[in-house]
Amino acid sequence: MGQTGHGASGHRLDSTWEQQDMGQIGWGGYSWEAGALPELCEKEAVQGFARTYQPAVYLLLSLLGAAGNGLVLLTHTRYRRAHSITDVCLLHLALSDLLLLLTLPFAVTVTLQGWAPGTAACKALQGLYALNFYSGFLFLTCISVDRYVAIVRVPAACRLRPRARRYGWLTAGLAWLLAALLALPQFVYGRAEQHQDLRLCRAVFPPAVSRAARGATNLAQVVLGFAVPFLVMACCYAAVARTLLAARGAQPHRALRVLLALVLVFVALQLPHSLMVLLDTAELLASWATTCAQSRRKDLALLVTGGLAYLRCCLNPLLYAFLGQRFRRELWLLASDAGCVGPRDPRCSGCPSPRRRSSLSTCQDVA
Amino acid sequence: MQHLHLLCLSLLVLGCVLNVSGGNNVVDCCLRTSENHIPGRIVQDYWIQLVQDGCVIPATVFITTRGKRLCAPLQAPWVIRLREKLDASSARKAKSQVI
Repeated sequence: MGQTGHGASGHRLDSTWEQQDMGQIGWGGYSWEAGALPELCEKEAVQGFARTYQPAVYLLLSLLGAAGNGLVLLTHTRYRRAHSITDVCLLHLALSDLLLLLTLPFAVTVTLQGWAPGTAACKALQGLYALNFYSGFLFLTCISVDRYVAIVRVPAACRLRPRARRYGWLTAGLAWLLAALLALPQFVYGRAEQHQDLRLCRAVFPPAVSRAARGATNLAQVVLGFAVPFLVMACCYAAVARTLLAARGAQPHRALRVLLALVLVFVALQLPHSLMVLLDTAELLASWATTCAQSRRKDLALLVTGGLAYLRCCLNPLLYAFLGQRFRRELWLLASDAGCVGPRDPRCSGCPSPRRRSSLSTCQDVA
Repeated sequence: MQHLHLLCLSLLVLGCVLNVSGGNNVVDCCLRTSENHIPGRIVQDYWIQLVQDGCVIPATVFITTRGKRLCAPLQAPWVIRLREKLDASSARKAKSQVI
């Protein structure tokens, strides 16, 4: 070890450093941060928080989400013959949210004890996660567009109605296809690999493109995961709200409240995470100098807002399905079929579904 | 396979990828490096930090004999020399352990 080949001056330097290395212990670790030799930024406290926060939040969300989305799937397949694009999208949204939430317990085990299964399972997990992440946003966007067409563009909606079911499945198929295409890199680059003392499952991009790839990745997450769905939703629901206000019908306020809840929940749950990812990207691409304390705070914020963003998958059933009277009636039917409660109203498949907004013009009015 | 690879790369360039990580993303990282040389005598081991590990910059992390972890550039000539020296000494150690 002693052989350095530096010569006499090198040795003198060495001994100076050695003294600093020894003296540094007494200084409590601050000397390197401010001094000539930068030190590794250790994040033990944040990692410790992640080890309790992630299992608790992810498992809770998985359970809640499995229950909520499972009920939506059950009622849709049992009682509902989808007759609009929204119906079909709601069904697929529930499926996509359910699958996404089911990947979370695996993420928890990775956090706690590393990734034991092989690379193939890792590819499947990564791909499934990405697929459902993207498809969820696409379905939300489709639902807002369909509601816009149904309420604002009534003549077009009436022309579409006879074929709505077919268009619904076509839309859902296209959304899944697009999501699968977007998730393809995760399938290809997903790999189980050793990192320091843990075996992790993640998408490892080729080193040549790593910085650009991570930057592009983060930007795509913000653009496709927040900006585009938000803009489409905001435009569609604003037009719907204008129409509802102009209609002055029986319950415009209730319908407006639902719309407002949809948009607000989306913004409140998704915006913080998107902003943090954007900040992370700016730091990555601009190579901003950050201190260790700032870096710790950023990681903590990414962790917390990430958990918040998953909450959306649990709230979708509440917002999109449970708020509808039809779904509550179906839920009651399900409960009575299962023998939990006595039948409230006789089950009739021929019951006309209540018109969504009684005040609005219907196809009969137009025709 | 080559075509699939190309397709994925172009998707990457198009910015259509999501950094999927349900798992723990909090990684100990070097946030900056300096050109000040670290003397060989005080380091006992090293690892290489890459951007795809989840860090902002690539770096070489040297572990000193006192357990401090110091950040050095990835590709500076003195860093490469130091890494080679450590590789050689660890190979020697491994050999002597086998015997």
